[in-house]
Amino acid sequence: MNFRYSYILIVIFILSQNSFAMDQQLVITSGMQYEYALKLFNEKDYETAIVEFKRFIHFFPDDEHKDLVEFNIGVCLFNLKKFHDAARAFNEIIINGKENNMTKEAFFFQSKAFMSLGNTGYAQIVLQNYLKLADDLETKDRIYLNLAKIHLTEARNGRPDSLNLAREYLSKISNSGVSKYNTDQYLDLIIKVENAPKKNPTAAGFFAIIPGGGFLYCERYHDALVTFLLNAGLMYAAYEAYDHDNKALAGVIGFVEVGFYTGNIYGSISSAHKYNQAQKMKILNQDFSISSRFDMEKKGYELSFNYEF
Amino acid sequence: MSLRNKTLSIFIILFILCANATLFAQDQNFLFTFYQKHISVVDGNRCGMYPSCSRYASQSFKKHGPVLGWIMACDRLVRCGRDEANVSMKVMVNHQELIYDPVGANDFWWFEKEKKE
Repeated sequence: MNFRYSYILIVIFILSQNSFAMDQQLVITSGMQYEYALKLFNEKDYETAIVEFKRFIHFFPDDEHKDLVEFNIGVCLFNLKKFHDAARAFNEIIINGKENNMTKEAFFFQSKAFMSLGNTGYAQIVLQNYLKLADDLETKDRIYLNLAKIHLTEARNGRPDSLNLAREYLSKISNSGVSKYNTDQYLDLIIKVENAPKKNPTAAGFFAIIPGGGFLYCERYHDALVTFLLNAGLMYAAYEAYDHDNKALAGVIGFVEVGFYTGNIYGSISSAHKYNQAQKMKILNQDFSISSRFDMEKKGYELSFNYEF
Repeated sequence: MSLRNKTLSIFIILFILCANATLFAQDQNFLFTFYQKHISVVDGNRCGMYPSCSRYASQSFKKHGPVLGWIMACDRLVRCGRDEANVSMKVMVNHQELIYDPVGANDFWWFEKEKKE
């Protein structure tokens, strides 16, 4: 009998618990889901934020925040340095072509993602395309400024005419944009780069007639000394071998020496070009944050250029 | 100089040039492979540049042929380490900081121009 009562009591207890849980059921609204995802985004937990933003799109596909959420997913991917995925996410927004701020910003972010991948060509194309669509002065100024910055980055890679192109884009910025973005600082930078110390490659090649002379001209003192000693040693060895009637040996040493002598001239000219490029880089590096990375898996070298838009 | 010695000298120089032309122009040339697999392993890898001098030489021969490849390889051997660090970037390879100096960083001033023309 007692057992039966106990059984009934247990059943009543379980049922009451279930109904209590039913009363406690939580209904997540689109606002709550968005707020939570945004909270994660602000806390820089981008991986989880992406999951929550995607959950938002799945459950609330017609919500007014959908465009912003899609944009935020792109920003999360960008901040996670998944630049390929970020560029793709921003491309979706651009293709949708809605007239809102997210689409405008998507162009700039996609260009920035390509820059981070070191692909300055695509970064330019994105902005050039946007330039054709943009009709307000403020946006155009911003595009011109970013295109100028891309060309300044390209100048660092020694791409010819980049400085002139950067100057050209800066000159297209309206008067209000000039004061807003302080474009004078970029024009000063261009002048500074143009006036950077230079070495004449022809002169370097000419000085290399005396082994090591070209390297000396390019301020590579150790290389100059090594080149001079090596060439002098090989020339002397060839002479001694010839003098001692070892003509064959003299021929072999002479062959090696010809390589090192012409290599000295070639290296001197290269060094002058490298010196000029290094001087440009030195000035541009003060204003641009540039990082390099070697990818062991792909056996490739990756350069990334970062600057504030 | 006797005629015999003259002939011998010319023959040796021609032999080296022909050996250069045939061996170095191949994708997997025998001399570099032999050096990298059997000599460098025993001798120890001391090259402070990336790619290493032997790999650089192999690439320059492949890209520019035996004459210019030889010149570029000799130039690289002289520049290995030292002053190159002042003008070139550094990369981390196998936890070792090396100076990044590929063939492209030494022929850009004429090879790119040639391509564009």
